[in-house]
Amino acid sequence: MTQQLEDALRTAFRAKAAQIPSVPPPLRLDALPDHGRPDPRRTPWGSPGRRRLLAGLGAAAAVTAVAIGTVVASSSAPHRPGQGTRPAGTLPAYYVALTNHGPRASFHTIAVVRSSRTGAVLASLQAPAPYRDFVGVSGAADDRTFVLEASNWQRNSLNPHVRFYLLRITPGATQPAGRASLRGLDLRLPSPYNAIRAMALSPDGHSLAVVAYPVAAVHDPGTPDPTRIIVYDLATGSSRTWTDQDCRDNCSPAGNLAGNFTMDTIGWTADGGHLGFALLTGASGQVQFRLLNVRADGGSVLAGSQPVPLRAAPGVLGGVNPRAAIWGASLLTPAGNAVIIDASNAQSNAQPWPPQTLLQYSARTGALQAVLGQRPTTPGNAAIEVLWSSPDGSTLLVTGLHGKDSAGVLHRGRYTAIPWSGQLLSAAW
Amino acid sequence: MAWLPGRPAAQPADTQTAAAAVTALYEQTAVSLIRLAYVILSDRQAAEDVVQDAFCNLYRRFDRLTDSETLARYVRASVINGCRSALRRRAVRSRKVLYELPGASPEAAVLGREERADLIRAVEQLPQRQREALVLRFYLDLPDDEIAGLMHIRPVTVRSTIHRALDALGQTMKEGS
Repeated sequence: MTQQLEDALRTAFRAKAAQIPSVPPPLRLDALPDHGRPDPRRTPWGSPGRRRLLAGLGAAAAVTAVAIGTVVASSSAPHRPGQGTRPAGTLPAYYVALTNHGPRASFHTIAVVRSSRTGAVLASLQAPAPYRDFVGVSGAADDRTFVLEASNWQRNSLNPHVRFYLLRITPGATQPAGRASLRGLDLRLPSPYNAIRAMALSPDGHSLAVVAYPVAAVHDPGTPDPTRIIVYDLATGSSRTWTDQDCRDNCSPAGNLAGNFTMDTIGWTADGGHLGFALLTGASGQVQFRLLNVRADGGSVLAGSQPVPLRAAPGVLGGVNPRAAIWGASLLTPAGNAVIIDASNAQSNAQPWPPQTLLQYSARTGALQAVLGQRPTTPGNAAIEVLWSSPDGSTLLVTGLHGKDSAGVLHRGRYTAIPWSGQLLSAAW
Repeated sequence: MAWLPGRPAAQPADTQTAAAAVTALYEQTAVSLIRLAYVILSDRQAAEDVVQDAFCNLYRRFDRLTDSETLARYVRASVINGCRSALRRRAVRSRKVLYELPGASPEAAVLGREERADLIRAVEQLPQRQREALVLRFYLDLPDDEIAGLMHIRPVTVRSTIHRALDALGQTMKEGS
């Protein structure tokens, strides 16, 4: 009986232990447990002053932890948006993934906050009623501040409603409910604009740039003034708008040309002074990459921006100018030094189709700097997307480069796959 | 630069060395330690907190602990002490589980779910010291002298504690069947 009981105990203990996942939560040397303790002075941490000191040590510790990681993640220490304390080339410590949730027939898209290092879930958020899904997300430079776009869009709906929410995460909070806070933002889209093609939160987390369009314009190309860039001040809700009304070539800021979900295909420079965006010219079918001076008061998107003169390179995109290629994603690096585009040669109808190529151009000269990757273009495959760039573009987080439902970190030509699934629609770091 | 009372100011290099070593050890051992704490506490969030605290403690005392074996021993003892404190406080509130539970393990398949749950419930009814001794013996498979060291009792007391715990468990299970 005793031997039986001992064996049963071993089995029961191991079975119970197996309920713990094999990936631990992130180590929080900086996040000291203030909550849920009767008297903080009795914690092993001693006085609050000591806790403050240790928070500083924890910051250094986390930075070091980053350096030894395979897929690097930045410090989990608290810092302010725009401070730029993250070591160059390291992924922010946390990201927000838009994830399918629920039965296949009626799933919603929720926002899931995860650790970049371990994938551990910090919080899951559903779009507040009456909105159905989170369909867009963008992050500030501090890896704690995000803006989510909620929508009640449904198939064939011409009149969806959109609302933006500010998401702040506090990874060290002991209570799960304290790890993420969601606050509705009082940002209004001017009528008839009711959909977003691209969005980007400024590095300091103070401004939100969106490429907005009226859904009706998709169904009725005759709708005037189809697309505009709006930059909101999150604190006041005020906005400045750049329109394309003086564009004789029926052009429009393009935003995300490839996917249905709103992404950071417009990008801020780290100083918050410029916004990089793709401009689709309807008549000629060409694309320009332009830099918009965001400190101006708004007005004409053409007058307010300068084109980056992307140049053709031998052997790349069939030798055609990238302006004449089909673009998927495009992104200005935060340092403003480079433009990353995913493009394929539109001049060919040959089978197999020309490959999608991820390219890096100098934002100053327009010269090709690097061919970052390539994949076959096959029907049904999603385009390559660039979800995050280090300041100088030397590290990118890309999806789709190695097939459908793939994602990885691309660092100086080396690709490191990260866990990804078809349930993840988009993500922001 | 600030410093801990009674401790020389931390140099950046030392700080980074300590952080790297503690983080590396965390990556190697955190899962097994969280599982150990979970078996003792039956509360996953509390188990994770205990392990976090243990590693923070380790980081604070890093300069007094030299080799990796010492570090591992220290952090395991710290986890067990932390579990003991948590059980004493038992102010651990029920918290929302953030991680998805994995599927049933092979062990779980061998032992019936209900029988296993009954046994775990019976263990949870035991006095704290008996429960701790059972976990150290039958989960970690530690010898008497090591259990004695961790529990600050004599080896002979370990044996008697485990014996009494098994008797009590056997009785409980017999009554329940």
